[in-house]
Amino acid sequence: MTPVPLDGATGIARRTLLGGGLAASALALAACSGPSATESSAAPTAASTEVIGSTDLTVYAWTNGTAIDENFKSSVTAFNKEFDGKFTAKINFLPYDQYWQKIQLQYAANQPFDMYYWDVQAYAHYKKDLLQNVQPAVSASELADGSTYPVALFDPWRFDGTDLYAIPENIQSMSLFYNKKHFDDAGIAYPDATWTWDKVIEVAGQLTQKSGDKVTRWGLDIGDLGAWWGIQTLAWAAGTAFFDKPLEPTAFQMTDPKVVEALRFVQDLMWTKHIAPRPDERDANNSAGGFAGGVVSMMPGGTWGIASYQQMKDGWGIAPLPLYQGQSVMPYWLGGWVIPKASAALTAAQTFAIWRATTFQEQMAADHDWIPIQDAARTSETMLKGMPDGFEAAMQSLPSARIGDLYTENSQKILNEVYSTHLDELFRNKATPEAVAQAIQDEATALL
Amino acid sequence: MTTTTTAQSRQRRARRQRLSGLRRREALWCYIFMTPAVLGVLVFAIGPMIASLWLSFTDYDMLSSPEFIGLKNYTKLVSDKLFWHSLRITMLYAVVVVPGSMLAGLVVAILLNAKLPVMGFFRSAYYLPSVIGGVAVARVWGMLYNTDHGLFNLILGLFGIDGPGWLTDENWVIWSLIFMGVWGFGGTMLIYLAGLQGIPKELYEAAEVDGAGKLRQHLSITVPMLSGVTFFNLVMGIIGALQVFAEPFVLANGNPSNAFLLLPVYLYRVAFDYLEMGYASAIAWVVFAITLVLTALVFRSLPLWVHTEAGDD
Repeated sequence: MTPVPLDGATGIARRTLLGGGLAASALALAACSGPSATESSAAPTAASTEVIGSTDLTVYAWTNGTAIDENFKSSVTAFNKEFDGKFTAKINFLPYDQYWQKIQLQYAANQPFDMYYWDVQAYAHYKKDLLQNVQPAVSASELADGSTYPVALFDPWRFDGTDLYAIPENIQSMSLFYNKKHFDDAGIAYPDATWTWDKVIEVAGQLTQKSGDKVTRWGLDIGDLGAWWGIQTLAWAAGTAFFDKPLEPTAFQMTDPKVVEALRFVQDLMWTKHIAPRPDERDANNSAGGFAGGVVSMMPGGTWGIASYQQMKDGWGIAPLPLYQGQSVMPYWLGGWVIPKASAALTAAQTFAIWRATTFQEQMAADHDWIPIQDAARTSETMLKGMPDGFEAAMQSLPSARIGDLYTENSQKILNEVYSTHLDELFRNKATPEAVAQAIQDEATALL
Repeated sequence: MTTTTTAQSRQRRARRQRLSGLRRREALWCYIFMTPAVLGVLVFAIGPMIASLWLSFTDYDMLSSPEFIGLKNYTKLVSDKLFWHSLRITMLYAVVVVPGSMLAGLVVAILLNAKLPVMGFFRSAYYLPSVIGGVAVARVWGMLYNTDHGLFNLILGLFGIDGPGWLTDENWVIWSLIFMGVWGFGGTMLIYLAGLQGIPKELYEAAEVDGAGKLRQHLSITVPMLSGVTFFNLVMGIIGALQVFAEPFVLANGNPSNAFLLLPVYLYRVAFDYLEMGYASAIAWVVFAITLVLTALVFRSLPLWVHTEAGDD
């Protein structure tokens, strides 16, 4: 086809086309930048009977596997039944690795989710003044009752020093998981609250099995001592911590000799004493099933692992974290709900969160997926019946537990880029504890 | 005479007007059909690119409005050790994978160019990796690379060699990614194969008559005659190598080691883990600039080594 010359008549079309194109570009630009997500609707000042926002609620959580997701869905069904005619909830699950991106995008588009499940990333949303102050709703509920709830443990979520910005509904901690069959076969008594790390090391050697040079069963795996918050429990026991305070720390304390000693302790478990698998050996061991597969006898780990070990062939139990330098300090983490100020279903969201933290607690105990925040539900027969030996004893340490989080806007950067990277060097024996401590100290301080 | 001329002139004018109307209608339809594509490019490519360029001069976390900070994101890159680490391993990846996959593609294409009955199967088999998604490929390679149960170390074990930690030893990670990258030479091979079909057989016959062996024929005929295809593969290879994401991202699988941190993975981490959209945009534009410079250099070198018919003339 012969090219058509752009004469006067078609020149108008070209200008129109260019104009349209520029307008489209401008629209795209505007869409990308968007208005400030901090603009939000007026928030209620107190829990009241007035329904603010839609009665149709959409709840967002990250997926935790079929069993737990199904329990979540059942709870939504139960909520809808109880609040029939008032509120209707539905729940959507997202993969964790897309969860926070989606939440941020919704904020950027000025259409935040009605409510979503808490993790430390939500602290940045508080810092941007995007979160609803839920203290009035909590105060008006049983959750504020110190005789039935461990209210002192909620304090880390009082970001402004007084009010809550997330509604807690469950609690997690850390314990020493052990394989009962391995202990029975070796004729060794199960670990308990009197066990020290020296005892663990001694017994781990006895429980380790080899075939020639190859270890076929490890007496100990460092488990969650491989996470920054796991090692920090040792620093806590020694009377120090990784940073001066979990909420907006002003100084890191990684070069404190007690912290360095804690780092060395974990490194030595793998490299000097070699009673726990080194990183390469851990990968192979995990491929063989790890603790769940019966190739590890003891492992410190988060209590959220309880649900996943229920299907284990061997019997297993948990014990409080072993004593380190004469002390054992448990970490804890709260699970709960965050509600944006601009939530389209503010009252429904608060009602759902409070309902899960109160009325639903008994069923949560029966589901055995999360550990209820309500004292009665957590210590109920229903709860204990499905829990491993030692669960009750481990939970008794909760009042003295310390929050295992770090609340800064850029906590993910500090933890992923600094802590994870240098701790990986430590575990691979590529750097001394002193060098790792110094590197974390310098780099984390630079990010504060 | 005058009357005749006037009538002819009127006829010509009327014809021109008819043609002009026809051309206008054609032009109108042309623009109508072009509009969706042009709008698509403007809204989904040019618009976001302009937005990204603007964001690269801002501090933007998606929660609050972008704040203009001038060149700070770009100056920050200079002292960002992770950026330089990412750039270094990305360049190493590109320097090995691009020529490696081109060489493998050329050799296999020459072998598959033979007129044998089973060649159709082999052509499909070698091209297959190119049509499999990066995530699926990475998953399979992840199993092959497993230190204790992976196929590679099992084979090495048969020869008494203690295989490395392909994905766990920091020194081996980049080479594991490079092997995977070279393995995906199917696309390059297919283009070479198409190029080979266009080389006149007479050239090989003449060379054979002159006593040239197979290797000499390929060096003196195939390689120069395919230089245009090589040029295309080189440009596309450079662009592809600087954009590789799925394989290192999937194989890292939460591994905190920075050995997997190729530039696109680092960009993703900055953008979607740390939500530093301004800084991530700056990284994206620097990667774009690097790609542009490398591509421009390849284009500048074109007269030196690419055989073209125009050049022959």
